[in-house]
Amino acid sequence: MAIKVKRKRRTPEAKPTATTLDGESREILDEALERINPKPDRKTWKPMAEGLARAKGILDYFHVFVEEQQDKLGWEWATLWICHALAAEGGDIEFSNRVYNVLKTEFQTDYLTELSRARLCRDFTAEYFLSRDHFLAARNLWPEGYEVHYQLGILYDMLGVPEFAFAFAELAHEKTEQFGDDAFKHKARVSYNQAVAMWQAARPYGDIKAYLRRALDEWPGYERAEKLIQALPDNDEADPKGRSSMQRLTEDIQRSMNAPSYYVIEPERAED
Amino acid sequence: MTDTETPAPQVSFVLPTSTAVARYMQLKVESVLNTPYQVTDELTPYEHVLTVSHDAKVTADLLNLPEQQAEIAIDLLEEALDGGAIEDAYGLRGGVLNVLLPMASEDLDLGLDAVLDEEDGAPTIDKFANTPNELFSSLTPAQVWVGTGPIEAQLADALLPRLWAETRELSFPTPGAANAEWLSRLRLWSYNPAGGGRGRVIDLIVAERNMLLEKRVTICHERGIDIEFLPNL
Repeated sequence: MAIKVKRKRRTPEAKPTATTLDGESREILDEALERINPKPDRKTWKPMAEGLARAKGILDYFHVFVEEQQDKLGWEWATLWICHALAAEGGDIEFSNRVYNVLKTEFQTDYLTELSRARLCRDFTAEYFLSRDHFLAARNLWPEGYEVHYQLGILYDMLGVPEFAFAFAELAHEKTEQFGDDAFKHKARVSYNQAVAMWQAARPYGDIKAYLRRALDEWPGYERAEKLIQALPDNDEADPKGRSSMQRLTEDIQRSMNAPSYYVIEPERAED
Repeated sequence: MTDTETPAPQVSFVLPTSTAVARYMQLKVESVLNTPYQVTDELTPYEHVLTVSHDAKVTADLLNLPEQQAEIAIDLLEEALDGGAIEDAYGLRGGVLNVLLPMASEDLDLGLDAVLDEEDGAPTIDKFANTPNELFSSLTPAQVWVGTGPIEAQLADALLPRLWAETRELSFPTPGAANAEWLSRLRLWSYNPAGGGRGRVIDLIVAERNMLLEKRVTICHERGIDIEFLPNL
């Protein structure tokens, strides 16, 4: 009879203070741990990060990234990754800068980190060209991502390049299927944004209407598109005099003071 | 001050970032250099330095500008005497359409990188100089190089105090967030009629810059001054 050795009861999961990070990176990790609740540990870091990835609509990318980086990632990364995304999108400039530097030096940056960084630069620090570079880095990391193309469209709208805004919106439009049952809403919003970009580029009203009709095909009853198409002159030729009525209508796409993106065209988060 | 124009009333307003303040001062000086004055023989200071004085400081002194603006004016007039180089378009230039953007530099320009690296499909430097650029709110480097005109400066002075009045009571989490709000309003303004049936703001600005460009290039050619890139006219 084989001797069975009763397995010694496992010691409780080590607390997340045992880390290989040191120096300033360790200090920032400790600060991040103070800010996050519940705190990721060796068991929970992956589902916690996955929850955020799902909310951001990047779950497919996340699984591939974690698989590729599995030797390097753990609770420390998840703590910093989650804190960075939340700090950057909340406009906590100083803390998100420090966390970003740790993520970049100690780990490999990823799509969401670059995306959050880009939005911080665009929406809170007015570093629009730096924002562009981070968006492009995110795009290189996951060319199939909807959000990066959508946000680049907004950035180029702010930069006064409506042709690029239109083109990036079109790329976002092609990637809306990743939202499943909600894809039609995203498609319609992108089509609406493209109509606005066409107006900015002084394209004929007929072209603008075509994109508004596409929005209404995609989302019948989409109120914003209905209002805009009704306000456009019957004459499909570009007419500077007709634009004053459009001005009133497009004022509602102006950004909310405290929201980081255009509230009208902000995509809804993927469902949990 | 010109004898043909009434001095604009002094307006006070606050811009959301220090870069915007520096850009605004730059656009004001550029517009002075593109406006004809009695003291510069009914020529613009740019024309005066290229055709009469050939000395940036002499022309700038005639304008009696405050010290900081005089320094900017001397730099711009010296650049004009040197002709046109693509790098002159970067920095704080670009007028009201760019007043809320961060400082532009050559190393940020992905298009220029492609030109200098002679990448496949990259345009020549002349073509690049006449291509709308994402760093300049779709103005071309040549249109930026020629500077802000008086019409554009008037438009800026109509817009910026209005934006200040509209946003001064609002609160923003950061100066950059305020800047984003201002920028959104500036874009909306630029795509709409300027008033008085003159057409869209952005079209007026481009038309004025093209007119100034044509005049400047003609003078440079007549005087044998090299322009590194050849604006498309």
